Amino acid sequence: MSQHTIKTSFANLTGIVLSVSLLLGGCASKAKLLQTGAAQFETESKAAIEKIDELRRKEIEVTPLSSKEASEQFVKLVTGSSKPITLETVKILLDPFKAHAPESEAEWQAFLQKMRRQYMMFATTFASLDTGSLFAADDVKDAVPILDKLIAQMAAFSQGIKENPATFIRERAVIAMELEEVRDSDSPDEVKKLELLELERRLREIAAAEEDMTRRTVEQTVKAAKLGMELRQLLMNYDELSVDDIAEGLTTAFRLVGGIPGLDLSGLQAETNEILQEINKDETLKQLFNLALSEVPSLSERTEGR
Amino acid sequence: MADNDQIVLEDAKETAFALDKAYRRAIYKGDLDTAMELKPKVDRAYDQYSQARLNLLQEGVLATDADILEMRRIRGEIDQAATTQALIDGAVRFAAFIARFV
Repeated sequence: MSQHTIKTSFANLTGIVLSVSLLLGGCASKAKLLQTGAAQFETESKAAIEKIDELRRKEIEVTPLSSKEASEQFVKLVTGSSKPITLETVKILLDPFKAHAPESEAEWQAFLQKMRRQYMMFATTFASLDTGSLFAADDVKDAVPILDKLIAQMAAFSQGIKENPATFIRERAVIAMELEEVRDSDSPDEVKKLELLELERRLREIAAAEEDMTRRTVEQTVKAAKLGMELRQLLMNYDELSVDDIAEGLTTAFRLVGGIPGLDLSGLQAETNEILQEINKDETLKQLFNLALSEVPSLSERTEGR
Repeated sequence: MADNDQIVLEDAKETAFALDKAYRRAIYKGDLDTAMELKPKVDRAYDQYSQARLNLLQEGVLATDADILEMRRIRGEIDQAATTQALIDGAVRFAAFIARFV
């Protein structure tokens, strides 16, 4: 091989080195953007799962008595009893409104943990994408069917919470009992009226807190589902998109998701409707979503009607 | 099944509300004996409500253990791609280093 041929070969090699380096650099940037999107999807989804946990706890939570009220109640209960004081009785005397952990607590914990794990696993699937971006484009597409399920789950949670909004049952029971007591009392009408107005104020406060809890939970599930939909577009077209395309797609996704907080329930319904329309455009997503809601007739009828 | 859970949820909510109200009245009036009778029933109603709420949410779950395994497989493939790419990157750098001496 002549000196000239060797030099030409190495000149070509240098060109290839530069090209490969540039290619690797570009692919790595794309991959890093995708990792950011997947990580954000995990964050929003896990926040939605925490909201669901908060909602179910709050529904059966009790406002504790003040120590003064507890002492007064203690004396009243002991003097009003006739049967032997047992260990069980002592428990109630010490804290009559203490709620026990539901029997399904372990099952709840397992469910919540399973959900957190699923969304965390999805994000970590792409952990080394930036260093393997050149050969991993097909693997990225393989993740789409799983993402579809994760999106459909979030959309189903959103619908489920809207169908069964938060009800602070214990708080409502206290007010209802007090309402009946005031109604049936012999107090003068003016006193009754004042007492009832105060109870009305408290009841409205509870209703507002329930609506706020429902809204925040639905909002978070909608945010996660919406981000998932945008991420899906990026995964599906990953090998054809440029760094700029992906950056633009993610910016749009974050802007859309950022615009959701503060919407009232009807605004969130509009957002959900948009997601449902997108879901219905895609046969796979549509089937998955309908499967998730197939046994809730009011919901599946609604989505099929779109 | 979800239909049943929906009905159970509504029923349990109503039952828990009614029993809790009666329990609170007993406490409020200092009627410890009645409160003692009602307490286990109140707890059971809330248990049923909590279980029905959970069942309804679980109906919406689609991803399975097989999907977790699939995510692991995809991650393995991507990790493998990263290893391959690191080797190529190393070879390219080595070639670039050699090219400087030619």
